Amino acid sequence: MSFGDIAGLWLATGLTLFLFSFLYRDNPFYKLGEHLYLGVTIGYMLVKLVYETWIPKVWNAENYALVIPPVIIGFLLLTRFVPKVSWLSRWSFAFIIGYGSGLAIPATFTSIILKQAEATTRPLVTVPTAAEQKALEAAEKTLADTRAARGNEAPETRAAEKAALSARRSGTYSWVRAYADVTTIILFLGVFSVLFYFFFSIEHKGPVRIFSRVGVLFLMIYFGASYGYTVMGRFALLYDRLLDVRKASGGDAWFATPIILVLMIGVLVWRHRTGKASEEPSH
Amino acid sequence: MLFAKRQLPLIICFVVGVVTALQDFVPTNFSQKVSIWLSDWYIIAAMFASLLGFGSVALVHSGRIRRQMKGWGYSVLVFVGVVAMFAVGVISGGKEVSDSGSPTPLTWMYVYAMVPLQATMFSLLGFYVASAAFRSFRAKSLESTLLLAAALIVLIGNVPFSNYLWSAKMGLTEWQGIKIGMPDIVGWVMSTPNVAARRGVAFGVALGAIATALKIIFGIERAYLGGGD
Repeated sequence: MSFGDIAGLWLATGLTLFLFSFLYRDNPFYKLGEHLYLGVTIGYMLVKLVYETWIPKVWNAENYALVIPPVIIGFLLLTRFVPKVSWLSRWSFAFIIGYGSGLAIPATFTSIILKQAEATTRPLVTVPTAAEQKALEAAEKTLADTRAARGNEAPETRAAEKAALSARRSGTYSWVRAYADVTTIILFLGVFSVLFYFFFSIEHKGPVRIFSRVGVLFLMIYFGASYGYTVMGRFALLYDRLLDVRKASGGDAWFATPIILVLMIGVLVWRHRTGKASEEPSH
Repeated sequence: MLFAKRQLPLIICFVVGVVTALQDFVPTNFSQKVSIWLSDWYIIAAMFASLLGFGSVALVHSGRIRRQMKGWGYSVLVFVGVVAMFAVGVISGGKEVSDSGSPTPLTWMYVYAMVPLQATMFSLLGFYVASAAFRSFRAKSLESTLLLAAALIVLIGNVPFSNYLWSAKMGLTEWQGIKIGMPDIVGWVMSTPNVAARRGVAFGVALGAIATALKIIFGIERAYLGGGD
């Protein structure tokens, strides 16, 4: 491991442990990590703004005449810091909000409404097509011929059996087809019941109430699944951090984890004993 | 003056909004050129909007340092972080990989400072989300039972051990050609009832977004102008 990697592991482990110390309670290590996080993020975004927007789009612009208006719009935004002329920033906000609104209309319409509607309005019950039935007949015939010629145990017969099974699934109303249809029906029912739940133009009573209640049930599954998915994502990040902390605990990384942990615990115990912990400003 | 303060922003918003929206429906060479200009203008203006945000953070923290408020040292750390990252970015010329193909100091800072901080912060939230759920998830009604069941299926189903128990030990992998392994069940929950509800919500959100965009363009919604004259 190079010195750069070791130094990096010390930094990463230290920052990770500083932030995890919040699980004990709010403490100076956590605050240190939190404020550094804010600073480092702003610094990184500044670098990206300078090198990915300012330099290529403004500094090295092909036509400076086209760049002057947005730069003026941008500088007018900064008048928010000068109360007397802060109203000038309204022109910039008007441009940004107007552009965003104009962009949102066709984008939302095509990417959400049309695409999602197209994906929802599928045939609820599907029947085998003539081509699929023909393919099934051909597959059955091939299987029978192969069996007669090669016997039941030959690899060719096994392959023909597989092909026939696959053809049976698409050529007849099989369980697989029924499962796909039920899934489509549930999807359709879910979308419309949820839409109905949010439809307030008619009173929710009688059959409408029952249908909108079905929508609530779908929403509950959605919330539960989204929750589970979010927690899984967060825990995946946690495993990754713990793996890094473990990686930094060995001799390769000059025992970064145990040394930092001992120092942190030492400082926290010292602060607790001297009463400094209770003086800590809260957010 | 009142025109410049109240009417002119509405006119700018209307013109820019209509031109941007119409471009999508009239894809001529000229309109596409205008669209690219506007897009570049928007990116440049958004850069200044970010600066506005950074400036605001800087004002808050410099104020805390100037007044020597309790914990002002932490505010110094914000500036230390900004300066360190920005300096490293400038040294690296804004590049992640140098011309020789090796990672730059910017990548080093990103990998060893920003990624751990970001990942730890988000994983920390996982603890609180999980503990809050542990305290609040109760199967008291059909609705709460479904919520709990969906969460448990997704959580347990994503753990490889559950798939091992389900498929290897119990032999539940396929039934009549239908795949019923644990990842398939999780996949079904995520892609069928979950997508159905999400799609319903998305339709509502999309219609709401279009309605709000139209209200903004036509000057009915003016909250972005702020208060005052």
